[in-house]
Amino acid sequence: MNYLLGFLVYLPAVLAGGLLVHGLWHGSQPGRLLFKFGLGIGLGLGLTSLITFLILLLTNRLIGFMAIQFTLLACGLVLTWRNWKNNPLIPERFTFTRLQKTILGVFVLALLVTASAYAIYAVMTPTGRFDAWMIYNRTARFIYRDPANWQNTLSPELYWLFHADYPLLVPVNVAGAWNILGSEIMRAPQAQSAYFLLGIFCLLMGAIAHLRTAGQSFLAGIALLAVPVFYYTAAREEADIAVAFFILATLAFLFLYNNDRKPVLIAFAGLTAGLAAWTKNEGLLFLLTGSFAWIILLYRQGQLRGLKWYALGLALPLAVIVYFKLFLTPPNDLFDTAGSAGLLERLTNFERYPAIAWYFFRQIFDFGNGKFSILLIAIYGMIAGLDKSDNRRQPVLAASVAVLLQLMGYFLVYALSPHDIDWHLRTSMYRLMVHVFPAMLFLFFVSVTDPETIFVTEQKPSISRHF
Amino acid sequence: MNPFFKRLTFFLFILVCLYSSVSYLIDNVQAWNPVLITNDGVYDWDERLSALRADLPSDVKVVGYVSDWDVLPEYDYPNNETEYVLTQYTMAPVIVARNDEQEWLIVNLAPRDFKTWAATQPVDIEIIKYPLGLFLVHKP
Repeated sequence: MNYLLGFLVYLPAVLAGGLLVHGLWHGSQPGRLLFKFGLGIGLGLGLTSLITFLILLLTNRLIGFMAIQFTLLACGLVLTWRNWKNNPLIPERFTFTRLQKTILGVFVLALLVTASAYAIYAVMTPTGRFDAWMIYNRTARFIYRDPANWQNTLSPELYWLFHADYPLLVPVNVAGAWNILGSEIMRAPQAQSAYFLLGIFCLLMGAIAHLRTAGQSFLAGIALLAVPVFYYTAAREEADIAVAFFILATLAFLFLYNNDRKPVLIAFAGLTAGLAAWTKNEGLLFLLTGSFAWIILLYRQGQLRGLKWYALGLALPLAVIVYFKLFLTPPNDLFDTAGSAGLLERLTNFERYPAIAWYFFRQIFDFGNGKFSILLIAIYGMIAGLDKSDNRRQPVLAASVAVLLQLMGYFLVYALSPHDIDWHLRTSMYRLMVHVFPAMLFLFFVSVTDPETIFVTEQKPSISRHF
Repeated sequence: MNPFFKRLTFFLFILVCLYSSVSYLIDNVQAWNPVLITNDGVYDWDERLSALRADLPSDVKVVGYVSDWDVLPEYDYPNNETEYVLTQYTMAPVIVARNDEQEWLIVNLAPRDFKTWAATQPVDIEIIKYPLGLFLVHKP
């Protein structure tokens, strides 16, 4: 029952996000609709968090959480209603080939297996795990239990372990949900994480279905279902799933814009990059790397003026995060005690570099659960080969640069870390990989040969006519 | 690349994916423990601290925290860290600072270690004792 309440309390935001995206970005191809629904989850929850935070900041009261969601929902409904003739919310007709039906069957089977595993783990994790107690739900408790003094959660007196400087997308929504539900129902944060997890699937599979083929989309879904770390991270109520969502969305928009050339897609990308920054400090790094990818794309297309749309989407989350970081939060634990000389000393302590590089290298084999790994994906890619169809002119370079810079940024953060490096790597590396893995999977499946081509017996028609 | 080899690789890729998913399910089924559905340890910690929370004056915004890591030469760091995190989680919105400089202190020590620590403190401290090595200390 509590789980159901947890899902219901966020449902208006989730639906609102999907309807708003649909209203602003027309098209009813099945893959696109799936992507729009997924995107709506993050945008709805992100906007709700931003607006609830602004009200909290201005009034020191935790109010309006449901009103915000229903207002957004009403806007989405009006927009959809007004555009119904040109842009109905009904998927275009499509048919699957026998091969696609077979891969879909395998996907459904894998989905049932992994969803059961997730459900068992989630049920046995009623209050989340360490990071939830330490950061997200702790912050939510500070806000929910004493909204008048909510800024105590940002106090420098809190020990560094509690990361008082972390952005508040997740905790504000958790506190808002508890306020509506009348008590600290721990299934609410778990439901929020589950929504983001669902959103990642919809983004990944929807974008690949739209850009490539249905079979490739199902295959990407099967691959993501094989990586347990996503499911226990979600059940543990950690915010890393939300960061992964926004990174994937921002980079997928590079490809969708490359196809559609609609300015609204650039604005959505600005918004998702900003929401990544409103979720975790690692999202702040992505705000730089993801924005750089967009500059590369628009520069290569000679459309740098399109950045104004990016700035438009980014404006609200960026304004909030800048105010939050400049005027409200204590310094980050990585930088507060050292000063610039200390940071330089750590950065030039090259003894730590091999240990960090070794941990990164091990992710090729270890990320996943020892059965499914990045190595397996690489081998599959080498044998399947790159896509040679007319879809191959995609902004893979720009997106890859963003992922690579993100990983390099994480490497430098470890190099700057004042903490025991082995402890720091052991306890956080898998979560950093969670951030970028869905985007890496997307880049991979958008680039390699699809099953329809592998099993082709005659000339294959273009994907966009398929799905 | 030979098309047959590509198709074989495709099947193997899917098989490994399914194997990974099924292994994950089996691991979780084997770890099934219905007790955890309602209590994963956090509930116990909330219960342990409930009397202390009630005794702490409502106007106190920051308390200090003392544990093994402040007193013993050797201690279990992960255990100390988890207990400290859970204490802060339970006590929110009161800040649990990791020092003994506050007027009010939560001391999480075995009774013998508490005696050792208390011997280093002013004689006029007020101590409220709770079960399982938990103390609320007021420094006038």
